[in-house]
Amino acid sequence: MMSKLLSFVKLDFITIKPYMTMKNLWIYVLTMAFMAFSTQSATSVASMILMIASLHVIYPFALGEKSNIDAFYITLSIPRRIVVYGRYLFVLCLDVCALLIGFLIALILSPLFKENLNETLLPIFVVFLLFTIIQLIQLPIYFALGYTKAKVFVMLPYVLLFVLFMLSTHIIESLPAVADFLEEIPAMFVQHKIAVVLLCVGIWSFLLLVSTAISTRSYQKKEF
Amino acid sequence: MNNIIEIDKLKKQYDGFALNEVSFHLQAGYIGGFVGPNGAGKTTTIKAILGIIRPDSGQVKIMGEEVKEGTAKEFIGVVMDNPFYVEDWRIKDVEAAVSPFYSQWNSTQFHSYLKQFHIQTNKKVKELSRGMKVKLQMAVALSHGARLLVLDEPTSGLDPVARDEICGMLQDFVSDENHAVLFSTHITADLEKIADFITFISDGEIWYSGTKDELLEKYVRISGNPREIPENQKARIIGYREHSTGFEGMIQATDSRQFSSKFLIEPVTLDEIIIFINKGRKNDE
Repeated sequence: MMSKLLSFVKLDFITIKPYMTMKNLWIYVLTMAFMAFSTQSATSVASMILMIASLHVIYPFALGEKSNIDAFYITLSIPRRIVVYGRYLFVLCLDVCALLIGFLIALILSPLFKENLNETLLPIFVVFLLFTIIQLIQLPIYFALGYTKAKVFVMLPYVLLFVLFMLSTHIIESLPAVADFLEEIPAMFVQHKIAVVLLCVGIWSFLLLVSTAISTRSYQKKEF
Repeated sequence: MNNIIEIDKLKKQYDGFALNEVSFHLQAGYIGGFVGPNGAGKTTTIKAILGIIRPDSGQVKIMGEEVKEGTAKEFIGVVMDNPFYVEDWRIKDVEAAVSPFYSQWNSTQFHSYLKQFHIQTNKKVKELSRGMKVKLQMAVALSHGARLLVLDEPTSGLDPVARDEICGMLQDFVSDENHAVLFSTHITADLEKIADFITFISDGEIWYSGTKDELLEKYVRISGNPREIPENQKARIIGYREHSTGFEGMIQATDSRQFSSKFLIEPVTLDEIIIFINKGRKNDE
């Protein structure tokens, strides 16, 4: 099972390989250079990389739908649950690679922008968590509906995030007590580092379990 | 009897179409042609054989093992009308994609087929012609130790030279008596040339499954003046149709003596069998 899982992750990387071109690389590099120049923030540049990785996650679904790749998996005797677990592993690999590149960029750019490296790494990690959580919501939608039908629905997490952001801004402005509490959060993080990390890992793992379970269930029912 | 494919009472219901108790088998060492008009159920049956769709009932067995999800299909080589490969893959990507899933993958053999078919490894799948795409799939299918080749309309849209090459390769493949080929097509000229068995499907039902020779001997073509045919005999003509020069249709060869010698009775081709049966079904409706 493990070797099939790893072979599937490799297959997903081969699937998106046509998009990993020098032309695209230059577009990403120039966009990040513009971002670095305009924001003077290492965190923004690193977040950009995570966003690019997030874009690549949809390619196996998009390309797969075009060539009926799900039927191809069946002819290769890849069990459906391997397809689901393999796709999640592929997404995680992409995100972790992006996170590591993000950290590396922060390491290089922080001294240039006179930023404290330690204060840069935490926001990058939070952005990483945020993107992975969004993907954990998006993946079951892609597995259930396929790329074309899911295109609209996968925007829901972003809309939800925007609504939450607007709502929290409004609450902070109208309720000073909430603003005071939010200001204390960084201090609480520092005081209860282990508890916060455990809580984050717990929530993330729970979401991962629920997300893979829903994806497996809907993908098992599909016919190609 | 060494059956490689055994299909028993296969049923699958869709909106507006159904496979209805499809049953047939194919023995090792032979080429089985799977024919029928467009929309008759050929691709649906092939998808059931490959485990791509789940039948509502019935059974599909490949080499004695029931086809289920996750069933090892290493011994099945698949050639589809349109390959499942990503269009932007280069040929070397195709090998990198499929080879980990076949324990008997033979890279040397694959490259030797590519050379034989004049397919360059740095070419993209989308840059290949239809015939080349079929040959690429053949190269993959023949490089992982497949014992059964399942081909869905591989020769449609190909020129006669390419079709002849594909047919030659299939004949070579079954020269090993443990191998078999199931070949779906509506170009019956290819089957007349290479098929040993024919399974004829129409409207989701198997109309005939047996040897090609028996099928060709079972029916004869009849034609003549429509004013000279009595109504009771007309009713026995399959796919009866009239045109400016007379009528034509198909009858059972055993019935031919009961028809007047004024009518022209001659051997029928596979193409005509498909046309007459299809027309007959429409007349019945």
